[in-house]
Amino acid sequence: MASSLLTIRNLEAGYGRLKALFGIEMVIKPGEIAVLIGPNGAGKSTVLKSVFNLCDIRKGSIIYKGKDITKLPTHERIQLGISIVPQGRQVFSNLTVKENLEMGAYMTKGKELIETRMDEVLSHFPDLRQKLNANAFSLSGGQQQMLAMSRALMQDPQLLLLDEPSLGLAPKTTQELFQRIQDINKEGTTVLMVEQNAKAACAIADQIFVLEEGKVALKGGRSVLKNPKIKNIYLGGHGH
Amino acid sequence: MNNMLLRVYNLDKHFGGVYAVHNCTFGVREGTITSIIGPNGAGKTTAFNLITGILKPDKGTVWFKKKNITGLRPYEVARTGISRTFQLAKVFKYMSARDNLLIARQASDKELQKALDQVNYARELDTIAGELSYGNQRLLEIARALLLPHELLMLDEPTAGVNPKVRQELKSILKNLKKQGKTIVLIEHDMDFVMSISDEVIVLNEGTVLTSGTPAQVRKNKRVLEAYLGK
Amino acid sequence: MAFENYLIHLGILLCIYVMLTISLNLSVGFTGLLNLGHIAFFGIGAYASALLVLHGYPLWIGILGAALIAGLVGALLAVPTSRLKGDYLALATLGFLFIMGTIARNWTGLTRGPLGLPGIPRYTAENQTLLIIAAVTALAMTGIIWIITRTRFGKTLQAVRDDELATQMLGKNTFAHKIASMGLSALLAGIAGSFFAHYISFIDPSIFSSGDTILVFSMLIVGGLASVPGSLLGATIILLIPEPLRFIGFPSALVGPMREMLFALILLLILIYRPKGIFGKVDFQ
Repeated sequence: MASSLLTIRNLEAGYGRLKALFGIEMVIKPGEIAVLIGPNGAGKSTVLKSVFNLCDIRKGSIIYKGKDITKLPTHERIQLGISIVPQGRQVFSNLTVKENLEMGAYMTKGKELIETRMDEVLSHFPDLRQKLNANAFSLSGGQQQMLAMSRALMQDPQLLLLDEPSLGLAPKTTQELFQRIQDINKEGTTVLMVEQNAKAACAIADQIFVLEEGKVALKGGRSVLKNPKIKNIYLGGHGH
Repeated sequence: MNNMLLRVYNLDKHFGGVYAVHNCTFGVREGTITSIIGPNGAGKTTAFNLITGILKPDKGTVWFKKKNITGLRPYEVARTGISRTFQLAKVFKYMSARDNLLIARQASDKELQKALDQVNYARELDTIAGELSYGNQRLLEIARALLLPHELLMLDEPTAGVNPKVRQELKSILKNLKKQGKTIVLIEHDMDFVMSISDEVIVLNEGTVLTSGTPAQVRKNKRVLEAYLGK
Repeated sequence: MAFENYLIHLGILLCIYVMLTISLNLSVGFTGLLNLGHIAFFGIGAYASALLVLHGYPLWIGILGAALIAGLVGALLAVPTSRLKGDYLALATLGFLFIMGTIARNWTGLTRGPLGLPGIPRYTAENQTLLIIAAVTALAMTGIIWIITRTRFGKTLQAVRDDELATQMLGKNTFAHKIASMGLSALLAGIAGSFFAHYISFIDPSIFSSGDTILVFSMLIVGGLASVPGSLLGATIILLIPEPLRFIGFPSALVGPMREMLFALILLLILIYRPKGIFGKVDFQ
């Protein structure tokens, strides 16, 4: 097994004139849960978007399973096994749970394959299985987030990108959600997650990257949060 | 001690069952720079919008210069002497820099140029605002907010999205305004900046005031870092 | 002689379309209002003026009445929608156009319904004089709008278009500004309507035609939103370019459709190559 599923080298990226990343270096190992935390505006979402080609990459490279995907269009990245759950519980509100999941499998051909996969995905989310024919808008916030995640899983991705999954969810729901993320990860899906709730995210992380002003300021395992530099990163104080 | 120029009491605002702001109470003293900080979703911009009349509170009151301004429309709030900028710089993009400024106040080209020089705006009076770089748009927006006759300046994340050079310029502008004795409230995420320039820091978390005090007091408070790191 | 008359007629039509386009520009191009019912004010002005004069009032009362009534109606239409999103004004004005057509057709006691109002007195029998009056009126309207856009009020209208919230935070009552803009825009359209009624001498409910709304909008877009010379140019292009078709010798049955094709072609070219219009600096939001 290769030692890196995803390598990001010297990444500089942004949105048009706005530059957000100033040289990101990251190596994500297969099978791990990697977490990106950091203060507002540090560039966490931009890193995810770069992996999925949703922003402007100026310099640097993104290598996935040994292949340079820096210039690859988004739909081809999906075909390589990368899936993203964007911020904000984006489900098709007027479709049922089942239809949402079918939408997630749009590149799979074969009704049986889709149903088998749906079954596998729903084994992690029994709540959703009970609500297969309910309209997505009638689900609670937590359930919608789980639906968005399930939809992304329909393609059986190797790398799952999550952009602030706990946003707007109550603490208890967040705990449940993170439990599911761990379950999915145990089955072999590598997870790269951006989170505001640093504490909860780090509790399930194998590797943590702390971003500050577009660069990786700290990295390590779960003990990273105890590093005294964290306070400076979040509350200022190194006077530069 | 200076007077409280702005006071908000027990502000409540909810959207579809979720409280964006809840029991929010704080005050801003005349002649000080107050920064409002807090994690994402803490309710900072909502608080700004409640103060400036863009949103109506479900409960609570807003007092400015000892007058109740709760529920006034934005243009009425502006006329009481509050000037503000927005999270994303709002310039009139099809109008020249000159015309942008003239909406705030009638003034000669000389005065307008002075206003732009004060913020280190790097283009001309005639340049159309939509053609400016984002940094210059931000500077133009601030110059325009300064030109409007006001006693309280409210800046929502002034340094967001600007390059480091413009960020430095904004910091010097604010330092200058502080020297002039202006009253300013700002929402900011750049902590070094906040801590170095503020007289008072108010920490919002989950829609309510967690704590407030001098920068040193706030930094020492363990609950503040906890708020940022989540539960 | 006939050709001369044709040219004069074309010239007067052009002047009327210029009046319509420039007045529409005030509310749409300069204030950013989705005013889809502009022709309704044109029709109201025509009927108001015609009815006043047919009932014995002097001509100047007719013009004044047309202007004030159209202006008032325009302002009133803007009142309920000015605090809402722009789409509501679009719906309200378009709906209003259809309602006016229905009223004109059915309030037979006032308007004689589909029979229309014939025999409307003209200013003068001399077409050439009428052309001069039309041209002077159109130019005066253009001049007035041009001056307005350079005043504080006019600049505030443009600020409302570009960012209403920011304009409010600078102390401006944007609702009042929007109402004033619609009112003025409608008032000028009313004057154009009055002129039209006293030129053609006969008006009927077909004046409330949505087809004309599209035509005037095209003139506005082709010339360029928020551009005063643009409105002059746009009206000229849209009106005059299809005209030579009359002389090329197509069978008369084809001339109509050919005009429409040419019209569509012009619009298409503009939208592809110069979407802001020839002189425009503003995008259609």
